[in-house]
Amino acid sequence: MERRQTPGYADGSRGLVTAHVVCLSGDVRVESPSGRIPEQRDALDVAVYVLPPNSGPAVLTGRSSWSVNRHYLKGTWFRRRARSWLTSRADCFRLLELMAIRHTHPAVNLRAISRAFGAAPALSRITFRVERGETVFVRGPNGAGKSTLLRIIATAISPTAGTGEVLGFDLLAGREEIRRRTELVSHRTRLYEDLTALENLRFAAVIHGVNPGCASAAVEEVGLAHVAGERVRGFSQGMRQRLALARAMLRAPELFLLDEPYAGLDGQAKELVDRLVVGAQRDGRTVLVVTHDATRTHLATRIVVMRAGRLYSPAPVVGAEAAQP
Amino acid sequence: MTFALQALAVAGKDLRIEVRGRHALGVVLPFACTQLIAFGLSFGPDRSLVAQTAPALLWLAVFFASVLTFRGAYEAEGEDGALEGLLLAPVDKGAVFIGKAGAVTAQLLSLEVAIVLLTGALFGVTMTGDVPRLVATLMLGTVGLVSVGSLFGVLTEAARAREAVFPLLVLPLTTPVLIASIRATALIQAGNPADAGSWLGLLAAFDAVFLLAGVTLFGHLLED
Repeated sequence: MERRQTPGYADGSRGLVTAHVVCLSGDVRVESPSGRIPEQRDALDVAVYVLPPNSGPAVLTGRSSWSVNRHYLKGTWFRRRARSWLTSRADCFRLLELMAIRHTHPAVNLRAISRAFGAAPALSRITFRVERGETVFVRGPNGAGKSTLLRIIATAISPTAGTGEVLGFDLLAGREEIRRRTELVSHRTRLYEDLTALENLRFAAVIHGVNPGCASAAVEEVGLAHVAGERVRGFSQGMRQRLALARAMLRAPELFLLDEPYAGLDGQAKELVDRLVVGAQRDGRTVLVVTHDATRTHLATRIVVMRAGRLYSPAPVVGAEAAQP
Repeated sequence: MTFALQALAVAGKDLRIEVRGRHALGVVLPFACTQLIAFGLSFGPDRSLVAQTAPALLWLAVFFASVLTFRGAYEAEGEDGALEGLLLAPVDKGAVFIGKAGAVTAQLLSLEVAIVLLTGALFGVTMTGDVPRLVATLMLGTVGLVSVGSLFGVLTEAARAREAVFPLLVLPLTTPVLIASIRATALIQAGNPADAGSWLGLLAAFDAVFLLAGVTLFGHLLED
């Protein structure tokens, strides 16, 4: 793939942005020479590659802001080769605006979703909408169907009836696109017992297309650096949960799905989860949390309650505890 | 990331788990040895009968070893929901199939070296008359067993009685592989390696069909 880095552009604009663009189909990957997208907007130095179709740069209109873009660029990926370049910074802005069109879709939009396991219904005609950037806490008693709801949104299981979209993609037809953009952290940590903590993260990084070099930093971030070389088999449930959080931190998904993320964690680890949620909020990402932990609901922008497979009207955040079953 | 890199990552992970767990060395190899010895004893002192049936005994030992190896390979995926992690990862599911099949093939081929040597030693037969063709038979036969096993391993992962269901599903489908492998090995052992060509061709065709089926269907079988 040919690359070009430009400190300035043909149209006279200045800055370090380098936009290498083919044409649009919505799937984009951004790279920078260092492999990371810097936090300071002035230092932003990225290359943008966009998937086919076959023609040159699309006609782009509109504007965008760096704060939105930086988040968006971190979390998006591409698979094909670049074919032509954007030659001005303005083009780059317009492209990013076009990329952001998908943001007009709600993060989650389920319509009359049902799911049964054998004869037992777990979800009964759930209609549920979550806007982009929301942090929604789902509460309810055991067996209410909360985890099933999250697993359907993550496309780990399919609904028995009903339709819906996640991040603008159909629950069934767009499964791969949804998976590319979501991260499910569940009570099953999905770790390999005979791999070390670091090996688990490196493998997750590789299959998610993330630089495996980030694994060490993620292990350190969750306070497991001292056991990074030890097999997961000897880890406590809390340590496993931390490692699962580290794996989630490797990525920057558009939608975080956290299933009982506070269960079995000590205070310090709970703060890690809080940091993950707050960081996602700050970046404008969407978070859906299933939890029994009433002490964390201040993080929510909305709380919904589930009972016996049904979703009850959203409870307001202020005084939300009164709405709990 | 390319298909090949994804497959290599999965195979590398499976082999690392195998090296750590020593499933092949600690469980499968002793089982295969015990099986061969039991077969040998069951034929009594008639050495000629044992010599005639040695290729069949060898491949039966390989088949049962492969069943155990597959169980080991998918056990790691099922321990803490790791298979769901693979399902939800933006990875080509065909690459996952090839990676898992590659790791099991490597394990089985290592075991087969020991099984071939043991068969020769126990039954007093020379299996290494035409080493290249014997290696080709072992490789093609193993890939045939592995392609079917990797495909159905994921299907039976969720089954309640998977230890029983898996061999029941795999045995009928791998019968052509077993027959072709046994016949080719017998011809090589008998000093007619040139006649084994057609059986090797059959094995190659079977491998191609089931590898293609695996790459295509594995993702669908993983889905809920």
